[in-house]
Amino acid sequence: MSEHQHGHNRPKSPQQLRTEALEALLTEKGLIATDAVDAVVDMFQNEVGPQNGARMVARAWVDPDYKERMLANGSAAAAEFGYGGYEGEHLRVVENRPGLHNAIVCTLCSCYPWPVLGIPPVWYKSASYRARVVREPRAVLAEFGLELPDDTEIQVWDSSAEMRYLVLPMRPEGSEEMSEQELAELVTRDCMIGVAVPRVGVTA
Amino acid sequence: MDGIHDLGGKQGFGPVVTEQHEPPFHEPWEGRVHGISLTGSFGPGFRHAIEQMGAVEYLTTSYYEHWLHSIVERAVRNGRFTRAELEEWERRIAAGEDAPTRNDPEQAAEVRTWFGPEAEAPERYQAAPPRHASGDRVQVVRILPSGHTRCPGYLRGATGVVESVHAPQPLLDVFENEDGRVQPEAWYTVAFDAADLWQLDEPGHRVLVDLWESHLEEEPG
Repeated sequence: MSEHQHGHNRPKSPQQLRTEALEALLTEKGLIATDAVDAVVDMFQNEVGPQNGARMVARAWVDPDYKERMLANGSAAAAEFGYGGYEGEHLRVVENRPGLHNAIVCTLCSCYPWPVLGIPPVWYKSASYRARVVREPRAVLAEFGLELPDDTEIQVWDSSAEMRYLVLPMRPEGSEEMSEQELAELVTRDCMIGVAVPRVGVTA
Repeated sequence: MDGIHDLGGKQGFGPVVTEQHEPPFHEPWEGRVHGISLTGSFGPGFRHAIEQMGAVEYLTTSYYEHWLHSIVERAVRNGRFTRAELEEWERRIAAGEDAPTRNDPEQAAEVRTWFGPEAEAPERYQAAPPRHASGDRVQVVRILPSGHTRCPGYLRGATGVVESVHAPQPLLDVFENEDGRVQPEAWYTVAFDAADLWQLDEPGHRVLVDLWESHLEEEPG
């Protein structure tokens, strides 16, 4: 446990103290294993994150057959890259097109496609985003620097548990000569939530 | 449950505050809570325990404080430990005692398969055939469960159009309210015109929400 490295002099926050006590108690009772908890932390810090979704998006931009499969069955398209499982069993990819923009939210809690985007950012879990993006998406997207024309249709997907959503953004202008790997670097987490669009020169 | 967690469409929250280059976990304890929640077994009702926090506490605590609350509530309710035992360990940790460790290489190896190609496929369930088809106009029920529900309150009584129909899955309203009872139902993605839900201050849009059979009236009103 990394907490041990900090020594015992620094006062612990109530949350840290409670968590350490909880882990100690559950460990003592044999109800959790230190290395299994370590593995979860490591997975989310190093393996499961928006780089996964970005690879799928870049593939869809260069491979029309993959894109077709992805839009028909997001979970199967993720599985082609070896991504799947927990909190992403049912994945649906929704496509931005000229005149149509998509954004995702979970107003009731913070449902999110973990296998392809990892842990949601704090703002995605915030009361403000969850309350507002279903009702005033244009105002919210503008706060993120994304001003959409009035005639662009917006679809907001409120994930209510079973289905998790991923936005397939449009390939940006000026990226025609880029390799699949270079394209993946343009696909930020925010582009796949739908509060940003990819731009050449802007990377994760 | 008409709790404060049911935030869709509520006003008065101010701008969305973002953070550049945000890490998955801001503090080590957040990662531990995530790992404990996923690898431990504390009983059903993860979300409903959070919803029962109380409105002021819910809004003034973080996501992982919500998780921590849910783990402790369910663990105590289901006899995993007592509050006194937890408080005793808090005293021992605060006094500088080292926490015990225990390894389970088999479980740790299994965790590493959760998001990979060996991840378990979702279970298939049998249920009554869906009552509605794509393109049908449907009406959301007025009366929602006072316990957990996956139907956001802003849809109460609203009329929308079925966008797609999905194979049966357990209704989480029942699973969380009835101690893990499995009641599979067909479910739908339903599209709503936002102007039918709220007085809008901007050009319209569509809101698409996944709803279960129980959330929809048999015939639109």
